[in-house]
Amino acid sequence: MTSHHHRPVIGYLLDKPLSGNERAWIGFIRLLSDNADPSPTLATVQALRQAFVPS
Amino acid sequence: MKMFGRPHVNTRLVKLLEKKILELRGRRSQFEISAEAGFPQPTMLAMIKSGASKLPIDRVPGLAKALGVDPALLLNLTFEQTAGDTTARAFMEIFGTAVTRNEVIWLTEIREASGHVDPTMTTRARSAIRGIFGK
Repeated sequence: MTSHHHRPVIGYLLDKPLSGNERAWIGFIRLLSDNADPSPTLATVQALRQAFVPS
Repeated sequence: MKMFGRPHVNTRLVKLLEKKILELRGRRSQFEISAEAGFPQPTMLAMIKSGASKLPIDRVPGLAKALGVDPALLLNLTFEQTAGDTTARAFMEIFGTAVTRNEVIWLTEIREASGHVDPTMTTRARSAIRGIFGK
């Protein structure tokens, strides 16, 4: 499946299409937030950055 | 389990509707939300909320605005209700999932935090996200 199958449809454009991994991230966030569509906070951004710091 | 006469009662769209209409109670009645969403019959929203009817796709933008939710979220949940519908399936095959404005921000943050390496959902990443949501 090519990447154009994963682009968003309602006006919120990303600078590049969604990858399969990004679909997994979004799916996990939807699951954990119970589809509440939460906005990232400063604390969440910091937690994300921490998660990507090489261990 | 599907209840007789209410085939959509267990869908996530119905749960979202119940939650949002409850949150708006005291400020806007279900009747007012229905009118604002553009339903021709006031009872239509009640039927969708009860799970008796599906949300028609052409009502997604109006209802999303009336409820104060992102239309992309409501569209995805509407497509879930139409599972098996060939039109919805074709649409999803071509366009994939619709992302909300907030999800765009999440994705941008994930891309930046990872150094644009298209990170997989590792155990560590899952733990970080679980921690964010307290789960």
